[in-house]
Amino acid sequence: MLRSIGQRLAGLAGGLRVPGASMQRLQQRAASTGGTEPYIVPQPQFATPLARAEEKRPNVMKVVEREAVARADVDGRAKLFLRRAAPKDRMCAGDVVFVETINSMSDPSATTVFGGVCIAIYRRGIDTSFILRNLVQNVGVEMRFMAYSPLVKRIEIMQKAQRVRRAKLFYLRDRPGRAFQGKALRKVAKSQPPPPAKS
Amino acid sequence: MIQLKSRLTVIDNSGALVAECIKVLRNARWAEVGDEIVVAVKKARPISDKTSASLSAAKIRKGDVRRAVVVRTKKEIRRPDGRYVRFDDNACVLLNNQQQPLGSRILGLVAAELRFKNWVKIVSLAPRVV
Repeated sequence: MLRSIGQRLAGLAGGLRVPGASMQRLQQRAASTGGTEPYIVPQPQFATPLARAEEKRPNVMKVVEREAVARADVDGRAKLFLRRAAPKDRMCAGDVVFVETINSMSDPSATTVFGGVCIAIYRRGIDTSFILRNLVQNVGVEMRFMAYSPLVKRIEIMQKAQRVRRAKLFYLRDRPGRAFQGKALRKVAKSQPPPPAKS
Repeated sequence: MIQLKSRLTVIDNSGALVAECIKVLRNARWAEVGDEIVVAVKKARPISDKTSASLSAAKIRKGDVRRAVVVRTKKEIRRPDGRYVRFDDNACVLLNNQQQPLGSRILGLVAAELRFKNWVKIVSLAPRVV
C-alpha cells in the first residue's frame, strides 16, 4: 500500500532536491520510526528539556527561549551575557568590546569590525543585544548588535570596565572624547582595517 | 529623521557649514540617511578673494538654497541583520542639480546606507564609511 518513508527516500536518492535539507538529514529523521512509517517523526534537538532542577513544572516559553539560545550559542558567547558567569567572562557596561560581523551570508569571509565601549546591555534571551559606542573620525558612533545573530562572528572583550557604577552608561554621550582615548580603544582602532583605497 | 527646520552639519568642502532642511524630497515627513532634501544654508565659510580663486565651481553663501543628501542621523538606522547605527549628529552633503556632490571632498564619516541608495560618488569620497 503506502510505501514507507525509508523506501521512498531510497527510491529518490538521485533525483530529490529539497531546499534547506540534505538527503542525509532526511534519512536520519526517517530512521526515527525505523523507516517503516510513511511519515517523519520530528526528533527534538534537546532530548531533555532545558529546565532547572528546582523548576517542578517548567514554563514552556522559558524552555523554548533557553533552547533557542542554546541553538544560537555556537561559540560560547552566551557566557558573556550570563549574570551568573565569572566577572572576567561576563560582559558588563563599560567594557571595551570588539565585534566582528559578517556582511552577508553569501560570502562569510567579508567581515566588518567595530569596537567600542559597551554602554548598554539588554538581556532578553535570544533577543539579547548590546550597544557599543566609539568615536570614529571625531564623530560619536553607536552600534547596537544582536548578540545571537549568525552574522555576528566574534565578540571579544578587550578590556574590563573600571570604576563604573551604572548599568547603562548613556551619560558618556555628553562626555568629551577623552573618555574614548584609552589604550584599549586605540588598540581597537588599530585593529580596524584602514579605509578602502580610493579608486 | 530629518524634517522641516532640522539643522544639519555640512561635511563637504563646498563652503557651507550648517544647513537647514526646508523640504524632504520624498512623499514622507522625515528624511533618513540616503534621502535627498532641499536645504537653506544657514552658516557658510567666509569667501575671501583667495578662496574664490581656488574654488572653481560653486561659491556657497549664507542663504543659498541647494539640494543635499542626508549622510548621518542622530536617529538610529536599522540594518537588515538587526544592527542599529546611531551617530552623534545629523550631517549632509550638498548636491548640484545632477545629484553629484558639489564639493570635491567629504570631511567625515558617512553611513553605509548610502551605498545601497546608489550614492556611489559620496561613498567613494568619504574617508570612512560605517
